[in-house]
Amino acid sequence: MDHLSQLESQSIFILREAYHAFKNLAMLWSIGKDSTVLLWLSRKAFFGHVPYPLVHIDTSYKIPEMITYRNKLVMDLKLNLIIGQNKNALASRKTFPDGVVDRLQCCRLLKTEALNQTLSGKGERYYLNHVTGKTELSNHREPFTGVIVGARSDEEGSRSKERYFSPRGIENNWEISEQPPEFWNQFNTEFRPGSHVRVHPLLDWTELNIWEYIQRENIPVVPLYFNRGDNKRYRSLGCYPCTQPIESPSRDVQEIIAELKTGKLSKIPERSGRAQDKDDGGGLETLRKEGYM
Amino acid sequence: MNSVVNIVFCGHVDHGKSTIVGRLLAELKVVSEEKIHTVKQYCENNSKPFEYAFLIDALKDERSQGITIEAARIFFGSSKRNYMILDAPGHVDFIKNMVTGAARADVAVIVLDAIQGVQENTKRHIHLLEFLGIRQVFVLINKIDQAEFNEEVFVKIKTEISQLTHRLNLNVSHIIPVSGYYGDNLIHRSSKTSWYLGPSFLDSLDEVNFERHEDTLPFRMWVQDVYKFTENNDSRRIVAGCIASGRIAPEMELTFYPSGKRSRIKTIESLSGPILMAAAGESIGFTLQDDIFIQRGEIATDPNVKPVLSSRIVAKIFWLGRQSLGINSELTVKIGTANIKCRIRSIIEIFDVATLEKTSEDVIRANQFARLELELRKPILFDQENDCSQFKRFVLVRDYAIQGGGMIEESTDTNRVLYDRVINRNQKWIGGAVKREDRESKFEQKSCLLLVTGADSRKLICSKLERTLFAIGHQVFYLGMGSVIHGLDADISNSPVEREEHLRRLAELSHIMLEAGMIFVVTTQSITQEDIRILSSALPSSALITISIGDEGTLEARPFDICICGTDEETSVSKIIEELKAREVLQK
Repeated sequence: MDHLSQLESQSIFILREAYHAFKNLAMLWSIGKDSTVLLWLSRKAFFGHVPYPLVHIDTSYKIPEMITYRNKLVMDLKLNLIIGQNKNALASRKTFPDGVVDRLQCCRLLKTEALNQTLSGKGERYYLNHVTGKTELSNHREPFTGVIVGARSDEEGSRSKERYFSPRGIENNWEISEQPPEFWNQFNTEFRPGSHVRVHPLLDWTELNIWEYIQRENIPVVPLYFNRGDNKRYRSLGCYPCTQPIESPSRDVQEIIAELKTGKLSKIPERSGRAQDKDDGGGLETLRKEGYM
Repeated sequence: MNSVVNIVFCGHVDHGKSTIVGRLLAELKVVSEEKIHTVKQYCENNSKPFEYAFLIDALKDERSQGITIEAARIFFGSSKRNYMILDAPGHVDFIKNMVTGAARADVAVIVLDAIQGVQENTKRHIHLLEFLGIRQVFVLINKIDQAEFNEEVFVKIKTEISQLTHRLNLNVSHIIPVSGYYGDNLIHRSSKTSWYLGPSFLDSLDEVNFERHEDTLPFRMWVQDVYKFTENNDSRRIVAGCIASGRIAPEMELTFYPSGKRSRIKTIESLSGPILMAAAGESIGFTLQDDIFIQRGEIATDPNVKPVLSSRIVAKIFWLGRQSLGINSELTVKIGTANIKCRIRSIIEIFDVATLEKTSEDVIRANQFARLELELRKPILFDQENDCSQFKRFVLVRDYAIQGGGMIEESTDTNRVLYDRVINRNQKWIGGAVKREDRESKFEQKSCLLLVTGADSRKLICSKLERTLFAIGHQVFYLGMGSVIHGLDADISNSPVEREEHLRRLAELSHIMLEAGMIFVVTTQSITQEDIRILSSALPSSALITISIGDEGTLEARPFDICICGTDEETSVSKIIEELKAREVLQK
C-alpha cells in the first residue's frame, strides 16, 4: 500500500469515527485546498454522501473567486453549507481594513468569534438554498459537539502539537498540557456537556501529499492556487487585505507538485503570505488557543 | 510513493532528544531558514543560548520552560525513504504525551546521556516501549563529546542498557555513540569515535526492513459502522471498516462475532462504483447478500475462525489517570470499535516502574503497570489464530478521557455454553419479511430492554412509563418478573442453580421482543453484575439499558445506565424519558 493510500485510509477511518461519535457534527470548510481534500475524503468515507454540514466562516473579506467556487461546488454536489459571520463587528466596522483594530484583533472578531458563535448556535447561521442559489437564514441552532478541521501538522509549529481528537473547553479554548493521550487508533470521543471536540483527520498529511492527492483524485480547487500569467500564485488562501501571493511559475497541479519537490519552497513557511501569523511573535498559536481554526 | 516510517525519540529529560532531532533536521535542511532565524532572534531577545531544540519546541509555553510538552510531528527524508518524527517528551508529568507519540512509531529511539546514564525515566520508557509493541528500538548514547569520545564510557552504558532491555524483553537493534550538539555519527560516521564500527544513525535507520504482511493473514475487520444513506434513492446498506488483516472479494463468506451471524459479500463499494478486491490497511465498505442485523463493534472474520468468546480476561495494563484504580473500579474498555463497560475483578500484581519490582499495594496509581482480571459486560472474540494487535490492545476510558491502555493475555471465562447457544440461535434465526430496522424507523424508536430495579415504586413508575410512551405512539411492553416466573419459567425451580437458565430465557424472550421492534420494560427486585452480563451476551450491544430507582439498588450492579433518586413517580417517568431521548431510543 503506498503512502498516499495509507493517509487516505487513516483519514477515512477518523472521519467515520467522528461521524459515529458525534450527533451534531460539522466540518469547517475554508474553501482552501486542505479542507477541500477533507470534503473529498468525506465523500469517499460515506460512499458519495457528506452526512454533515460544511461550515464556512465568511469574513466578507475573502477573495471573491473563493466564494464563486464555493457556491458552485455546493450546488454541483448538493452539499449542506452553513455560513457564519460576525455581523456586529462588520456593522460597527471593527476590522483591520477599516483601520480600527490590528490584524490579530480582526482575526479574533471576524474568524474566532464568528466561528465560536456559529458553532454554539448563539450566532445566526445561514445556508445556501440549492434551488435559488441564494443564502437564507437557517433555523438549525443546535450546538455542534464535534467539528472536523483540516489542520496539518507540517503547516506551522503549534499545529504539530494537535491530537486527532482534541477536546476543547467550554470557552472553545485549547488546553495543550491537559490533552488526554491518544494511541492505538483509539480517540477521545467522550466529552463533557458544554464542550466540543475538534477532529483533525489531516494531521499527518504534508503540503506535497495534499497536492499529490488532488492530482490523483482529480479534485477541483480554486484557480487562485495557480499562476495565471503574472508569475504569482497563492500558496495559502485567506482574506485579501492580509494574504499575499508568492512568486511562482506553477500553472497547474502537476507543476505545483514539481515545484514542491525541488525543495525551493521548503525554506519558506507555507503561511508566509499570511500577515497575521507574524504579529505578536506567536500570532497563530495565540489565536489557536482561543479557538481559531 | 513509498510509505513513511514513524520514529519516536524518547528518554530522560535533558538527555538531548530535541537537540539530536534539531541537529538532524538542520543538517538535512528540513527546517526553513526563516524558522531558524525566528528562533535565533527569540533566543537573543531572551538572553538564552541558541539551541536547535528550540526549533522543535515551537510553542511559547515550552520555550519558557525549556522542556518538550507535546508529541510533535516533523517530516524528513533520507536518500532511501521518508521519515516522520514524533518527538515525545521525557518529563514524567507528560508521560501521556510520550505514549501518544510512541504508540504510533515503527522505530523508537532511546536517547541516553553519556554522563548520566540510565535514569528512572529511562526505565519507565523502556517498559512502555515494550508494552506498546514497538518493533524496532535504537539506543543513542548522546553527549559523547562531553565524555571526550571515550570508548569506556560508551561500553559501560551500553552494558547497563543492554541488561535492562534484556530483562524487559525489548529487542534493541543498534546502540550508537552520538553527539547531538556537534552531529557526530548522526548522518555520517564520525572520525572521533574510530573505535565504533557500526553504521551512523541515519544509515542504520535506512537499513531496517519495515514491510508488513498483514494481507496474507486470515481476514479480520472491526465493523466501524453500518450505513444506510437514503438520499438520492440510495438503497445500499454498507458495512464499513478498516481491514485489519487478509483480503476480501465478492461472494466470500463472512462470520461476524460475537453474534455469530453469517452472510456472503455482495459488492465492495467505493465512491466510483463497485470494486473487485480489498486488502489489509484499506478503509472500505461492502454490502451483504442476506439482510442480517450487524452492528458496530462486531468483528467480521473469514468463516474458518474457531471462536473463543470471553467476557473475563487477564490483561496487563498501564494507568495514567490521576485517580487510582482498585478492585471493583468501573471503567470502559475500548477495543477495536467496541466500547464495553468493565469492572476490575481482581488485581494480580502491580509493578513499581522505577525499580521494576512488584509492589505490595492494592491500588494502581498513575504511571504504574499492573496485571489484573477484568470482567466485561459483553463477551469479545478472543482470537488465538490472528496475532493482529487490534484484537489484543485496548484503551481504558474514565471521566470522558482515555486514561490507560491494556493488552489481553488470556481468557478466564467459563460461560462458553451460553455464548455458543446465542451464536447457534443467530445462525439459525429465520427472519420475517419486515425487518427490525423497518419497525424501528416506523415506530421512531430503537428497540431495547429497559431493566428496572430498586425501590418498590419501580412497578408503578414502569406502568406509568408504559402508558406515557404508548400514548405518544411508541411500541412498548411492560412485563413484571413474576409473570415470567409463573409462566415461561414454571418448569424450573427458583433455586440459585437455575438462575442462569431463568436469565437465559428472559434474554431470549427479550431478543424476540427486540426483533419485534419493541421497547421492552422488565422490572426486577435485584440484579447482579453477573446477571447483566448474561443478559447482555444474548442481546445486541447497547440494547440493554439498566435503570435504578431510589437508592436501594443492589451495590454489586453499580453503576446503572440511568439512576433515578428521591423524586416522585411523575418526575421519575419524565426523567427516564429525557434519558431515553438523549440515547436516541425515543426519536419522536
